[in-house]
Amino acid sequence: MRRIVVTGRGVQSAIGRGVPAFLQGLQAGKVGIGPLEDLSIKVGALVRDYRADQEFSESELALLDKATQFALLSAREAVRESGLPAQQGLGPRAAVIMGIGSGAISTLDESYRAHLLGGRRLSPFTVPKIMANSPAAHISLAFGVTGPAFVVASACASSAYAIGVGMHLIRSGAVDVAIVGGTEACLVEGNVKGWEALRVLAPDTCRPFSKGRRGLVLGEGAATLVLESIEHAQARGAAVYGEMLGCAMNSDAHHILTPSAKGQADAIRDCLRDARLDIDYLSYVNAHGTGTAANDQTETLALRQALGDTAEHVPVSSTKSMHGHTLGAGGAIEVLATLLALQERFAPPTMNFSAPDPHCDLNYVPNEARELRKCHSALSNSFAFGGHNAVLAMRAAAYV
Amino acid sequence: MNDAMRAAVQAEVLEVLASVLKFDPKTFQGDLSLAESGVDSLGLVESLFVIEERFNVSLPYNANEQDGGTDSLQSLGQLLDQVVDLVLAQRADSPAGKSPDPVLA
Repeated sequence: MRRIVVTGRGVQSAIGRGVPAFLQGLQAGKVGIGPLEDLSIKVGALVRDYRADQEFSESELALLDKATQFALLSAREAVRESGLPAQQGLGPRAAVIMGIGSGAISTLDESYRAHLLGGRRLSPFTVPKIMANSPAAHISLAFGVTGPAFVVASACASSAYAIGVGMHLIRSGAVDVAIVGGTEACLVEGNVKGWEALRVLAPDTCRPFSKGRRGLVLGEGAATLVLESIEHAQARGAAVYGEMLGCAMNSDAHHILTPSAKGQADAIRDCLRDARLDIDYLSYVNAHGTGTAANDQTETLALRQALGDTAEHVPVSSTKSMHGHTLGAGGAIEVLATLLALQERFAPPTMNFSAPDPHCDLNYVPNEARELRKCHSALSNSFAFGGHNAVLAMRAAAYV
Repeated sequence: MNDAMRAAVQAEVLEVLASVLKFDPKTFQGDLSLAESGVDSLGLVESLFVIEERFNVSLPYNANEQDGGTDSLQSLGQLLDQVVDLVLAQRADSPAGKSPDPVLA
């Protein structure tokens, strides 16, 4: 089976735009969650210092929903870091697979407002701006990717699925390079009213696994990784930032909203098997950890079922406590956090942790990043509405 | 506010709850826990939505706080009391005392 390495990384998030700022945020326990002024919900994890007109021209913006903007910016950073010859076009042996949960929902919201409330005409670019594949299409255009390009939608596991699908395309030999990741820009009124009605949003902040947690906090952002077969990366002398060891994707066919410990545990076990990862080398788990009552308790149980005694001590943290729940971007942002944790030998903290919950009894790295003495391999969990579970395993570049 | 008015509102709310959660209002036992009443979190969220629409009130319920947070609901009886209080308060505020159209009842 072909081995897969990470050669480029990019991110836009509430705790940092660009990988260096994001890493600094993870190490410092920066909480990107704050009050929202223009929306009916109380808090969210906005990319606060983002100004679209500083990144794109007016004519570009006419075609780019905010989710596509984030996707493009993170992809630019990742492709630049990879050193791949993007100016010449990456050609047919490269793919683009991006995850997205809600689609171009800010453009949808604006369009309904303009048409129904304002009685105005819609822009002729509304359709290409709204189409769900837009983030993948614009990345393929930007870097001359002529292999497969598409988006994957599996709610909060979308970008973990996108990374998994990219791995399979490289393993099968269909491509040598896969630009993978996810994006989301969901903090718009029409969408948050729906989340509000589901009654799962926290009014204060996101406290994963903690007693007194009051739900999830929506966030926005994107992350992109450049994956390559190890031969392809070595042949061009590329720097390597980690190895993608394994992936598992399943559906628990249990309930449209309620998580299943069995489905999650199966995904974790399948991933370890796919990665051929000896559990003794597991140094860190980046949890799905949404901060809802149901997820955190179920995930704790699933980790216990799948990891056995290792669950007693392995550091498990939820970086959603910092960058919020970015839905379709979550898996990619968290895989990036996990790769950075392995590279810099630290476990990012679970912030806003107030007190242990008797139903959640693992080592959650509360409130402060911790050094990882043993730092070899790690897992990232993504579990979604619809019962879609994805788990990815990766190894530190030092051991590639 | 008199007891007869309260009883009338209570019957009205109970009827809505019974129709969403599919139970017979005659066999209603307010002190049973939500789980004992067979109400799952999605059923509860759905009934809160219907009640809010029907009676034009706002119920401060968060699905994450069933373990005893300030907004927690332990039983259908508690929900009934809370809704009746809100509806009575709301009708006292609007002298016409009319309820909105029962679009979802």
